[in-house]
Amino acid sequence: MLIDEEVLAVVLAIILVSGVFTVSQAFLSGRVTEPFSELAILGPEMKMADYPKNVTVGNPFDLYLYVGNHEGRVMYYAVLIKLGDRSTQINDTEPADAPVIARYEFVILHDGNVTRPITLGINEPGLNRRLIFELWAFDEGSERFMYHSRWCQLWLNATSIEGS
Amino acid sequence: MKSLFKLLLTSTVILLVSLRVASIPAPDAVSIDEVRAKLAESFKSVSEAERMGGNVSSLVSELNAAIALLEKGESSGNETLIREASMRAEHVLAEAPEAGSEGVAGAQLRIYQNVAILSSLAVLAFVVWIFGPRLFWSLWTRSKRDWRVKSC
Repeated sequence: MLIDEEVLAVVLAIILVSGVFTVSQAFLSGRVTEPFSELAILGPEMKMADYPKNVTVGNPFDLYLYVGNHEGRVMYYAVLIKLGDRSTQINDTEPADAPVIARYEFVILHDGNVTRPITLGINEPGLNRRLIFELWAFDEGSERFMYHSRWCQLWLNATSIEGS
Repeated sequence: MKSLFKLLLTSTVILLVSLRVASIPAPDAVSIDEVRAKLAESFKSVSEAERMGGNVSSLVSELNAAIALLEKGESSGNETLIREASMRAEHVLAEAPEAGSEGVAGAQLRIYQNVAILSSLAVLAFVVWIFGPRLFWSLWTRSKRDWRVKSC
């Protein structure tokens, strides 16, 4: 025998393992093992910078809203923008109990994302106001939007034109 | 006195009729809540079509267009935009089952393709197993036919 049987067995084992790995990858490539959604706020230049800190009441300012879908299926999202303050409570399970000042909806395919320009305005002055962005997703079972445990915020000082 | 009574009666009837007419919505009027419900229904059908393996990209674009129209219509109070949003949502609702059926057909075709590929690979492996060594050694002897054996 020109090739040693042990060498042949090792070569065959390597080929077998590689084959099984390749076939399994082909079958599992589309599966999502860890589904998640993304929510981000970008500044007026579409960067994670230059966020407004001081705004004038009644004077609109621009931001960008980014939502990404990696849930493994098409998703119907709603982003609720609420105006809170230091006392406003929010966490991954409970949305903020604050007035909604704007709402944006998107339907996004798996592995898709949306970056959308938005214009917001604050109607009452105050220091340390929190602009809270919450991600909600449409739940087909209950047929309503449910809080999707994703949120972010911007701290703002809103001053009136007189400077109050 | 009688004419005054007639006048009052006529005015009341006219007032009641005009109030009734004003309270009847236009036949094609559609409320924002109705459109939202239609959007939700359309999304469910799109989601179902996707689960069936259908390509729903165009339906998703249509849904987003409907959502954008509703937002604009809601903020400007433009009835035409809200109606347009409603029509688009209905269109998605009507098209989604077809996308789903195409997905099912496509999935069946993929199953047949996979079975054909795996069967071909199995047949190929069997052929190589049976005829491979013979072919290999015949090629090997052919490539070495000019070799001469020398005594050491």
